[in-house]
Amino acid sequence: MSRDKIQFNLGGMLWSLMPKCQGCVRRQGEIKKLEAQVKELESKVEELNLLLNPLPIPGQAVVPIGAVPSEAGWVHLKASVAGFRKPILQDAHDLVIEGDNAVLIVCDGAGSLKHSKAGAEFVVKHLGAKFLELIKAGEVFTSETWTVRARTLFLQAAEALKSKTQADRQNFGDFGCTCIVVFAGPDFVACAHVGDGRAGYLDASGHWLALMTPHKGALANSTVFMTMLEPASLEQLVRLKFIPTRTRAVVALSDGPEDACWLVSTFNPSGQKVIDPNEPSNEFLGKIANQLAAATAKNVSQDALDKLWQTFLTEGTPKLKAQVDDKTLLLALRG
Amino acid sequence: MYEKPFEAEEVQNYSQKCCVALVLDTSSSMAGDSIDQLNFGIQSFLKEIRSDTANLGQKLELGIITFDTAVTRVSEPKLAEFTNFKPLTVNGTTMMVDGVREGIKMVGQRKEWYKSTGQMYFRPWVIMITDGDPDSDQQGELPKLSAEIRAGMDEEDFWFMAIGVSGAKMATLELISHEKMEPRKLSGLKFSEFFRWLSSTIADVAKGQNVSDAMKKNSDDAWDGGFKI
Repeated sequence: MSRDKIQFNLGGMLWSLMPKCQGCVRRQGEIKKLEAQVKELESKVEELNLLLNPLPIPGQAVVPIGAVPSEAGWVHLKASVAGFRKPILQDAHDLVIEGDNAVLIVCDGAGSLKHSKAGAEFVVKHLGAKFLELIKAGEVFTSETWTVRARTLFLQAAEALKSKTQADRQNFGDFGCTCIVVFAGPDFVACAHVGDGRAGYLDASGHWLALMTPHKGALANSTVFMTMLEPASLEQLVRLKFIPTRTRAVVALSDGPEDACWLVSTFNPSGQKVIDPNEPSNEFLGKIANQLAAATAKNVSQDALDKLWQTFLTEGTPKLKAQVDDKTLLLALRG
Repeated sequence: MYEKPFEAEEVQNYSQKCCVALVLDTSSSMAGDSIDQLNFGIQSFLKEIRSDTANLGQKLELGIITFDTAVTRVSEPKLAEFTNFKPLTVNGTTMMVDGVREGIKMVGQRKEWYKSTGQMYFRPWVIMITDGDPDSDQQGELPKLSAEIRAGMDEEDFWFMAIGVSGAKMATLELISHEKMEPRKLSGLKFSEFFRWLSSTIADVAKGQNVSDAMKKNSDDAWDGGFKI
């Protein structure tokens, strides 16, 4: 092939291609437009992904949906620590995780009663075992069955404690303690309690809501105890709540840490009277839940989490550090 | 090992506040054991307030003013947990009248702030501690100061209490004090005992007890001979 021919051919080719190139120019413009649209769509997909399955951000208060991957199941924080300069811990807790269910149990032994620590430990252990039995037996909970079940179990716990103290020839009244049970099932969240403390859950929109109203007496720090339960007083003393929703997180605490994480005292709208709004703090609980989710993403062991949580409850904030009352705070986050 | 500690912002629950202005003599005559014991007493006082989280820790707002050759607001009224107290040092003379007036001004300003933000409050306290007598150029102001304190006490604007340390001219303290709260003389340098008494008394007041009953209830001779109410 001669050089001229090549040139001709190339020229011919170029010439013949010329109209196509003009088409290419148009197509390139279209491709650029399409690329821009794809980029825009990718950006939207990314935003949607972030909305649907974002990374937990420890410093933020809103707990994103999917903060904990579903395969992780329930992840949790649990600890009970003695109050500042308090020689003994009179709080006790249990946390039962079984499949899609989480049960949080908090008992606060009355500070002035000499066996209240033993009372709190007994009730926690008793109720923890009973609720685990129910879950394993496949009990289906509704608002009605929760009312019956919870009251029965609370009464049985009190009666079992009474029998034990009688067998040991001890004064049943000395074992007084409060009790909170928060039960998050597959499609409900329920609460039963006797006495003070706080409990709450995370609703679908990412807000923490209270699950109970503590029993408060006329005198400061006065409340009711498990040792006061009798068949006739059950309805009055065991307060109940049942919400048919699949909650993303639950929290239960004794009254010790409530001042740090719950809005419990403020003026009413008219500014004339101090009221208890009973509002869980999104800032506090949300940030803690996100830190738990972040730790879960790093595969932090439960032992390590428990130690960190114990340290936090002991001295994590000025109020917690100075609190003279015992502090128990359980938080479970569903994956 | 994962060691990132948990962190969270505390909720600010409302508590009715009680403002206490400590008006302290830091003139040269307080040098040595007096100022050391006073510093120690204040530090113990703050520690005790902080530990009483259910009551004083949330309610008592402490302000500190010193007077010597000048009057200084060492610390504006705030809860003990936010008070960063640095030991006081001594210097110069005794501008007691200006110091007390600054204390009255401080609690008055705090009251106005409570009012403007819709907060309820307990009647504030102005507590003056001195081991001397006002500078000569302040002596002429004493009758006026006495009248101001009397009016403030009668109108229930504030409580005024004068504490004399060894060397204090008690007649002056008597002159400026109201009969509802007579001046007291500190036994030796028992500042810590005094502040413990103050803490207990204000704690009772902050729980709703009236001042007279709270003072009687907590009265003992640990730091003086008791109160006459």
